[in-house]
Amino acid sequence: MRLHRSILAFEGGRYLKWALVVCAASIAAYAWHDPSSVYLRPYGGTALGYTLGTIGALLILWLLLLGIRRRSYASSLGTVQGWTSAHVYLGTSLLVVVSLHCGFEFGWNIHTLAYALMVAVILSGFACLFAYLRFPRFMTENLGDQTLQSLALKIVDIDRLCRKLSLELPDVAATAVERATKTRIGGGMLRELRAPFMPCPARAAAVQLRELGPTLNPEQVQINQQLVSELTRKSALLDRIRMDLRLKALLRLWLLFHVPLSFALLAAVIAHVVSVFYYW
Amino acid sequence: MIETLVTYVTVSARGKPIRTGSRVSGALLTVGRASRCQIHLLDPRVALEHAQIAVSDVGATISAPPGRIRVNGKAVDSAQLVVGDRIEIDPFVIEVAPRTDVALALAVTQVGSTSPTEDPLHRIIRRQRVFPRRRVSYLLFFAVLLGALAAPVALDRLAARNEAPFKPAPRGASALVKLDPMARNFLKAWNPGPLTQSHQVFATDCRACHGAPFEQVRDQPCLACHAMLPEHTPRANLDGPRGHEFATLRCAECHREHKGETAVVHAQDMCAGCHRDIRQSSAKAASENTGDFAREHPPFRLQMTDPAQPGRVQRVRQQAGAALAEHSNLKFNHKFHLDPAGLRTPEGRKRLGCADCHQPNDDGMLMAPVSMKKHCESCHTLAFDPAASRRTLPHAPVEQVAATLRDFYAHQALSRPLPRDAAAGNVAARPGTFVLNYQERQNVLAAANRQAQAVLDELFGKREVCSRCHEVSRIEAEPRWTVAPVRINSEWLPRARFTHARHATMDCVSCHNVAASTRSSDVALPEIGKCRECHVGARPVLGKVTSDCAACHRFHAGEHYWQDGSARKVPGAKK
Repeated sequence: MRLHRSILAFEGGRYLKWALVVCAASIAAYAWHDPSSVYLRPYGGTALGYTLGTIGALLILWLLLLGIRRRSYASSLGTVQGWTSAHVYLGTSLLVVVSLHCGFEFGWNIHTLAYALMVAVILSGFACLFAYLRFPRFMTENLGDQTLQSLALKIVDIDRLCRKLSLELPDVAATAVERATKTRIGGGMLRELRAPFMPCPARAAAVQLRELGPTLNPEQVQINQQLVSELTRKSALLDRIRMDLRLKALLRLWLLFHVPLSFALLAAVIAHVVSVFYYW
Repeated sequence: MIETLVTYVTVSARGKPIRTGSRVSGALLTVGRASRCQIHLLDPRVALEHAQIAVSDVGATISAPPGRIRVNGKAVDSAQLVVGDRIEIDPFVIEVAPRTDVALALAVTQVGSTSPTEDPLHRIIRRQRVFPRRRVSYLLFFAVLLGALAAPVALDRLAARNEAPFKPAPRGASALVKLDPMARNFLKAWNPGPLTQSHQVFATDCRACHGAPFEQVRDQPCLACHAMLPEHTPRANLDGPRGHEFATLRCAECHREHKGETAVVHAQDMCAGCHRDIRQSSAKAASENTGDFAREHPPFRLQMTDPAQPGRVQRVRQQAGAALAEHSNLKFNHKFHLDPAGLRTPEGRKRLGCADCHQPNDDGMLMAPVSMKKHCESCHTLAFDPAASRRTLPHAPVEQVAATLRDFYAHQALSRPLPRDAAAGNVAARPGTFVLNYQERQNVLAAANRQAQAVLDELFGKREVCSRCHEVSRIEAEPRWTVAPVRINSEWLPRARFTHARHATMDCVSCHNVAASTRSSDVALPEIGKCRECHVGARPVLGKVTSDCAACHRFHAGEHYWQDGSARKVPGAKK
C-alpha cells in the first residue's frame, strides 16, 4: 500500500469524472436549451436557469458540510479523503454551473455579489490545494529527521555554551551574545510568514564577533572563533525553524480567506434566493 | 563474531552513577535516536540515525554527516577511535573504554540537561496569536445577511405599512421619509438589471410594480398606467379547450423587466404557443394556424370590397396562381400610363413613373390616396366648352356638375348682346337697364338648360370625359347620369404593419408588377413568397432579414380595452 496518495487521484480520480459529467451536462443543456424569446437571452429565471441554480445552491450547501464532516471523527459516511477530493472537484465545477445559471449576466447587485464571493471562495480553495500539494514536502525536507522540539533543545544548549564562552571576552562581545541568545521567532501570522526574511540576531552577532578578532589576545581569539562557529550553527538552526513556521503559516493562510468567505457566500446565496422570490 | 560492549552511565536520584552494560554484535553499529540503533541515545537533539561506527578486530572508526559529532573537542566527519577518545553527541558523551574480551568498549554518559523545566520551544517561538476565524466567519455571515436581506426586507415592510390605508403610521414613520433615499439604495442592491427606458421613472421604487412578497407581479400595477391598452382578442373568443391559458396570461409573462433599456418583446414562441393550433384556444377563430414566418405562415389575406355587398369589405386569402379581382368602379390602365415611350401631355411628351402618382403617407407606412386634382387633372382636363377652354367642371357629384353647366349656359345666354334690330325697337333702353319680360326669360333659361343637358350627355357619353375613368350609367331621373361609387382600396393588409418607408431602397416594381396590367381590377399586391425572398422567420439566416411575428404584427391590436373589455374609443374610427 502506498503511504501517500494525492486527494486529486482519489479512487482513480472518481470525483474528477463526476465533476466533468456535471460540467458537460450543464454545458450541453445550456447549448441545447432554447429559452423563450421573451427572455431575450438566457438567464437565471428560465427553466434551465432555475435548474442550474438549484444544483448550484445544493452543491454550495454540500461543500460547506466538509467543515462538519472533517470534524466528525466517528462518522463512517465516506472517508474524509474522499470528501475532500469531491470537495475540490465538485467545488471547481461550480464555476461552470453557476456561470451558466446566470447566463453571464452581471451587475452591481447582490446577485453578482454572490457570484463574486463564490469565485473568491473557489480561488482561495485553489490556493489551499496548491499549498497542501506542495508545502508538506518542503516541510519534511526542511526539518529532515529533526523536530521543532529537538532543534529548540539544541539551540538551548548552544545558548548556554555561548553565554559561558562570552564571559571570557570583552563586554562588547558579551552584549552581542546576550542579544543573540534572546532571539525569538514568530508571533502573528504576518511575522511567521516573514520570519525567514527578518534579520537574524545570531548571525548579526557572529559578524560582529568576527570583526572583533584583531583586538583580542590569542587566548580570546580561540574562544571567539568557537563562539562564532556556535552562533553560525545557531543561526542555521533558527533558519530551519523560521522556514518551518513560514510553511505552516502558508498552509493556514488560505483558511483565513476560504472559510470566512464561504460563510459570507452562504449568506449572499440565501439573500439572492429570497430576494429573487420576494420580488418575484 | 565482532562484539561491542556498550555501557550506559546514568545518575541516580541520589547522584550516584548507575552503569548498565549490554553487548551488541555486528561490524557496523549505528548511533541514534531510533530504537533500531545499536547505540540508542534517547534525546530529541540526537538524529534518528546520527552516526555510524565501523568495528573490526584491528580497530574502530566513527563517521557521521558534517557538523554532527566532535571527537576530543574537534568537529570531525570521521575519526579512528582509540581508547580514551571522547565522542561528543549533544547531550551525550561516548568514551572509548579499555576493552577486555570485546572488539570495542564504549561508555555513554549524558552530560547535558535531560528534561528542561520550561519548554525550550516557548523560549524561541513566540506564542501564536490565533486569527479568530470562526468569529470572523459568523461576523461576515450576519453582516451580509443583514445588509443584503434583512435590511431591504425590513425597509420594504415598513414602506408597505406606511402605504396601508386606515392604519396609524408607525412610530418613526417621519424618520422613514428621511430614510427613504437610503432605503432605496438598499433595495437597489436587489435590482437584477436595468429597467426599460420608460419605466426608469420608477427608479428604485420596487413597490410600484411588486406587490405582496413572494407573489408574481400582477397586471393591476401595469393597467393603472396603461389603462388605454387594447386587448389582443375578446375574452369571449377564448372558448377553445386551452383558451384559459391565454385568459390567465399576465403582462409580465411577455413583458420581461430588468432585462435592459429597450423594451423589445420578441415573443414568437409565445405567439406560436397558441397560433400553431389556434382552434385549441379559440374554436371559432377566422385565422389559420401559423408559426414561424419562413415555413408556417399561411398566404396573406387581402382586405377587399365584397362584390356581393358593395360598401362592405371582406378578407380574401391569396392563392398561388389564382388572380384576385378588385372592384373599385374605376378604370385605369397601368400599362398605358407607364408606356416607356411616354404620354402626350399639355406640356409635351412625358414619361410617367410610379412616384408621379404614388407618394407615401406622412407616416411613411401606406401610400397616400391618388387624387384627381393632384395627379390626373393636368392631363385629364375637365374643360367642357371649346369656346371657353379655360373653364373646367368641378370633379364633383353629377348633380353639382349639372348645376355648374346650367349656371354656365344660363349666364352665357343671358349675357349675350341683343341683336341690332331688336335693340332698335326697344325705345326705352338705357345702358344697364335693359329688362326682359317673364316669357322671354323663361325662353332663354329653357334654351340654356337644354344646352347644359346636351353637354352633360356628351361628357358622359360620346366624349367619354367622365366615363374614361368612371363606371357611368344612364338613369331616368335628373340629371340622367349616375357614377358608380369609387372604392379604391387603401389598406390591403390591415393586420400587418407594412412600412413603405423602410422598403424605400427597393424598386416599386420588384413587388408591385403592374407593367403589363391593363385593367384596374388587377391586384398587384405581392404574395408571401415575394416577402420570403428577403425575409426569414425568427431563426437568423445568413444574408436574410430575421423577422419574427412582432416584425409585422401587433399584439395589442384588438377592438376592446384589456382592462375591462369595453369597446375602444378610436378617434376618427368608422362607426
